[in-house]
Amino acid sequence: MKLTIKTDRYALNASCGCTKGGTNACGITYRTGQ
Amino acid sequence: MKKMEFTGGVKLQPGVFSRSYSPREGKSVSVAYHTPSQSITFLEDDSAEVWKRLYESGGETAPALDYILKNGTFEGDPQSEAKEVLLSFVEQLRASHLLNSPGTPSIALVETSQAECSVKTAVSQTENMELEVSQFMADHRMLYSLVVELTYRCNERCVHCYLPEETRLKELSLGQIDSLLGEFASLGGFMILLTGGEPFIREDFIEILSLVKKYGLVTSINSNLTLLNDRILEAIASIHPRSVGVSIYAGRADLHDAITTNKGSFEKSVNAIRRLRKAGVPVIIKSPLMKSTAPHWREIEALANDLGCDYQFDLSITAKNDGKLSPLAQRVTDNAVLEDIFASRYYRLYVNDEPMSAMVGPSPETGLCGAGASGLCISPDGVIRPCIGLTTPIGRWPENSLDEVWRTSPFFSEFGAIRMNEITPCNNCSDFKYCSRCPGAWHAEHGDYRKPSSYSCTLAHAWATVQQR
Repeated sequence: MKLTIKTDRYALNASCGCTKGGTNACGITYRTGQ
Repeated sequence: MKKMEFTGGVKLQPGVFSRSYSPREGKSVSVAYHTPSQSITFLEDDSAEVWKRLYESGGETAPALDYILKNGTFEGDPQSEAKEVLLSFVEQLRASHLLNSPGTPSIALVETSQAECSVKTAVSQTENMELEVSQFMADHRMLYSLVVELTYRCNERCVHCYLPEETRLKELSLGQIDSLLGEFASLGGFMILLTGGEPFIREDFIEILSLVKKYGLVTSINSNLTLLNDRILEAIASIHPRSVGVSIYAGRADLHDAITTNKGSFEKSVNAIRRLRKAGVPVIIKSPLMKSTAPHWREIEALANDLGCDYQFDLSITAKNDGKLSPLAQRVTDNAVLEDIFASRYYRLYVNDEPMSAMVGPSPETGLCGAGASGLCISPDGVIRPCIGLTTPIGRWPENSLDEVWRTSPFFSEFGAIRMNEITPCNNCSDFKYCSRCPGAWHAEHGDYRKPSSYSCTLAHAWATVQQR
């Protein structure tokens, strides 16, 4: 059994640019939409 | 042959939060945060299962070892091989700040393991794990994040504010917020944003913070910070928030205070940021840029650097949630100023040589946006919405549970079915991939989330112009 993990440092300013939010919920706008 | 010795348990680091998910189809996954180091870890399959056992037992190795023994295949002695697998895994978790050791190393290694460690530590320029996780949750229709607007009351009167002037609502009580967050957590919810209005204006804000702690939520807070006191500071630090976002509109007091219409607010906010940073709390300066402040954006950058904060600019000033257009007069329309901002490095994050939004174009697969894809928003009075930026009501809590709305609201299928190639003029726009579109803002401005704001086009064109030079 090989156990691996992926870790990244998250950027606080990574979102669509809207300053109202803070959960990155709409960030997928920039990936595939819904 | 390597030989390992466990000399005790391992401990979770303070500021570690985790949720594990077992989708009906596909592998188990776990998401883990260590907020003091701003790191996020994603684990799949056996790795998720073993981590889940370590996390839920507070670092006890026995349940994790038991899982490996039951599910692994071994060539030699199962006990020692399982320990080696676990040891290698624990070392990776330590490198990712999820585990530490009490005193002397809790797992003694007699001979060094050569196990490969796949940990990445730098901010990636080409991917964003938080967005990947949101996408995973959206793909599995999991309610993952919740924006809680605690109040619309505020001690500032910002000229561009998107909230209606009438802010007196019957706000959810502390007991109701307890029930709401409990329901959210029981559905697998993990990320939360506490915002307002000004959330510190609630007399029970500290008790609300103890609730997010109780439910183990990764918490962000948006505030102007002018009401920060010792008790709130201590309570915020104790929940290890993902971030505290603070509205700073300029790098100097006169410009900032002219936006908040609250003399002295700049000094109070900046002093509060210093105190939070001293307490080790991650702070992000959030700057909606306006006509009067945008030409001076570098002063905000300099201030943020001085304070040790991240910062985020926002050019998308929107109409008020009730449709009033008064904030739009604050929008930046000077092309030279816009192009100066879009030429800055903040618009080149995450995709090698192109801005993040260049990842998608108006193809048949491109949806309007991620509103309601993996999260919801709740107004101070319990109205449930798909996003903080989209005011379309889709339920009312507690009359409608989060689960009921999430499973049965027709909004999700209707909104999710709309494709950008149905939206005019976006479907024929050469600047589309530079468009920070927000259907919520369009809805506020035109009463229709299918009807773009021409200001989206102005911004996209300025960004495209800079990128295509």
